[in-house]
Amino acid sequence: MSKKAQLLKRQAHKGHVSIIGAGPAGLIAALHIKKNAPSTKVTVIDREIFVGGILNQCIHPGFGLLEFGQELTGPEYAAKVSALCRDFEIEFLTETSVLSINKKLEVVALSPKYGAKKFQSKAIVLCTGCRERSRGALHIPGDRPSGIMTAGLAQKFINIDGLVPGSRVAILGSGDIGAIMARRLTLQGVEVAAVIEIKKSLSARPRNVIQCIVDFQIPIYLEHTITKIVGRERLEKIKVAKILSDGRADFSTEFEISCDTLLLSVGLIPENELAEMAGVALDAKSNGVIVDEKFMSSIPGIFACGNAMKIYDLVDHLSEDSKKAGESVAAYLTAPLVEGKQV
Amino acid sequence: MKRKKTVNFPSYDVVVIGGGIIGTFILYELSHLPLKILLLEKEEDLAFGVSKANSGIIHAGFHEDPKTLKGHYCAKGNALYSKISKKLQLPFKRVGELLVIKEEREYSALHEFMKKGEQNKVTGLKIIDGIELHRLEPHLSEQLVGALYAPSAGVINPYELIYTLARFARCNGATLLRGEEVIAITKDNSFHIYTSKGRYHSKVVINAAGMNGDTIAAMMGVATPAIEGRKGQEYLLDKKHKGLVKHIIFPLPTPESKGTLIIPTLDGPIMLGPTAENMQAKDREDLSTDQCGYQEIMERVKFMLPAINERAIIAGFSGMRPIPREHHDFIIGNTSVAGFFQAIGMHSPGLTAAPAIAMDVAKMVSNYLSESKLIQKQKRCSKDYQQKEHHCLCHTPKKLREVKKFSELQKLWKSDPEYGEVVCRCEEVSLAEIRAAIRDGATTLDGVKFRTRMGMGRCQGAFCTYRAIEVMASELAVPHHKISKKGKKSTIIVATLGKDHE
Repeated sequence: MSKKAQLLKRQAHKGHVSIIGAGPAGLIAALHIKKNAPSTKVTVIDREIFVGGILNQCIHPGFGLLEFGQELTGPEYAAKVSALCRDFEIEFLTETSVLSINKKLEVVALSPKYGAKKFQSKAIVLCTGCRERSRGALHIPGDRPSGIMTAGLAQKFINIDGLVPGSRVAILGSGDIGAIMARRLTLQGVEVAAVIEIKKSLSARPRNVIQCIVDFQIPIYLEHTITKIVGRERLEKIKVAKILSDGRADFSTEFEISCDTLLLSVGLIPENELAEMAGVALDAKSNGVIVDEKFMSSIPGIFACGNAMKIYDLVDHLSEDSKKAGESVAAYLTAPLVEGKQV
Repeated sequence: MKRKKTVNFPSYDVVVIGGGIIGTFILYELSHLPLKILLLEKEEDLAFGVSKANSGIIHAGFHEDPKTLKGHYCAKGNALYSKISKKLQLPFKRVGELLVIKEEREYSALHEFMKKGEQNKVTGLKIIDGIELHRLEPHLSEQLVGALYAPSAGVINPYELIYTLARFARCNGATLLRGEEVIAITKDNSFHIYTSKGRYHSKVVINAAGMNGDTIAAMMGVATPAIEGRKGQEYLLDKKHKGLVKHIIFPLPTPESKGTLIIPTLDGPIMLGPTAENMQAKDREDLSTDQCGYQEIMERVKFMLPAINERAIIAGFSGMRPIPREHHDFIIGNTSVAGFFQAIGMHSPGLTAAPAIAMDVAKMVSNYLSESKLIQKQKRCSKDYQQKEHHCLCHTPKKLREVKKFSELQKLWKSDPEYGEVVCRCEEVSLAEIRAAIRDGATTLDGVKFRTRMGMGRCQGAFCTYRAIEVMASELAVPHHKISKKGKKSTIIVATLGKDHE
């Protein structure tokens, strides 16, 4: 390689943006970086085989009304966004896990296809999404049988591979994923025995409460909590009680619900282990990346959008913000250099 | 013509009942002798009984009464861990123990423990004041005024130990059978062992059956104290809180237990617990957790370590200690029945004592076999097994999470591209490691989890279970609905759309 070619290569790398996560936030950010800073090299990295993130397992309708003016399913929404990306030269590294990032904006990724890769980026956009609260984090006491899983895992089993995780199901928490799974399982012939919510009202969006829970006459237990999980091998039953005003269970009201599956849908936590590794400041309460109005985190050049920044109810709102994030990243990259620093 | 069926039942020199720490350690020791040996485990996998909730502490040995077997074996076992961990190439860290006190007048108790420890030949014991204590552990409460420091205490991964011992024993020719519960044992010239799946002959039987040690003893008519359960609840913190304490922190013990501890486990996460709850006989398999235990632990731990954050807890579980009734010590050695040996009632410090106990039991068994002329006395065929064990070590799978350098990462991927697929993101476990675990004998999700740490992190399996089941189903050539958490009825999937399960 000639010296000039080497120099050019280095410069090309200098304009490199690594986007971590190819869900809706990552795809839309990539799209709008490319639109506004066409000479930038954009790489979107995702651990899955397909882009689209969690949308791929959300086969229900209700997406895209704001963004595309038509009602779409999750995979349709993902397909539409990735089709838009196809008009631009965006590099997709699927089946690739990012192992680490740092404040020097180095990204180390690993893939079974091409091994370890290191990128020196000019900007990193964290679109790492979120995870669901686990049983351990919720301190649900009792035995440790099989049949307890997050609603998202159950959704992946049934919608991607047609694997049904239970025959009689109780759902703890009334988040949107839980509500949607209540309907999904009912339609599949699985009995949904209860939706148990510690608060005074269901937390899913009103549309989901009506269409997914009320319309199917699924028993709702508001201001209730699980006091014990029973079952040595597979889950056999749960014990449920009303909660007192101080949040503790009132054991005098305890009763049992027999079920072989318990789905947890008790809230989402931004998945920010990579951000933390680089030293990015996170919100102590929500675990979301703290960003300024330009979606930049506490570390210059590291941006965040989507559920990694804050939990969204609707993908359309997420897309709208991710567009803005993409535009600010483009502005950051194309800003004129003053004394070697960007302004 | 009438045909008479003759069935030859497999015959062994030694059968070990129980695939926990003690059973596998004994098997490992015996595998160095020219004996035909078999281990029977009733659960789906090794380490699924008492051992599965072991906190992984290699105690220094100052807690135990020098007159007891616990006192005799603890420091001895502790010393052996340096050698054994080196030989098996198992990570083991001597992090040290600190027995902390909250009042000046409790110094006398520390001196008593120091005396006990010295009698038990514990090395390096030192009493330190509050200043020194807070220099070692800056996050501990200001209210703590001093401690007994025991640098020889350490932490190990108990599952990794068991599966490695089993792998070595196997490569030395031992047979391990799982999912086989011993139902009856009779004895004439030799022992006849009847299990849920088959029947075996043996010259020697070793009872290492943990919680069921008394049941096995009763089958032989050997008088043994009833084994009672003492439950311990434990809670794990997210590994990002690693380093909050560097030593294992002990309060002054209670008559029931060594108290509620703060344990910096080998793999990073801090473990809090255990409780000590005496169970009724019928409840000795009850491994449930409850709010009371949780609150008790939090209260006690917060007193020692106010910086603890309850929101950092990612998992809670319970274990059961097998305690011989009114005996409060291990039961080790021969019995009224010739050829029937026991190593039961193994509660704390059972893991620590295990290598020393295993060596003694192996010696007893070997002496018995040669003295009673059941086998000819033979020397250890050392060269042969050293070679085999070397081969075994070369095939120990590498761990992705331990590879830090970029060049090594690339080398690892070149050695097997499946190291490039990160299945468990929280604990950084690759597909290659999961496949190796299945080939090592894991048939369940817990089996894979205990071998690789897959699913032990903050998402508790929410992201990796899907892929793990897919890989297990293909590797074991069974449908998805046959894959279980821990065997028997603990399946994950109950139906497949568009397909009839048989």
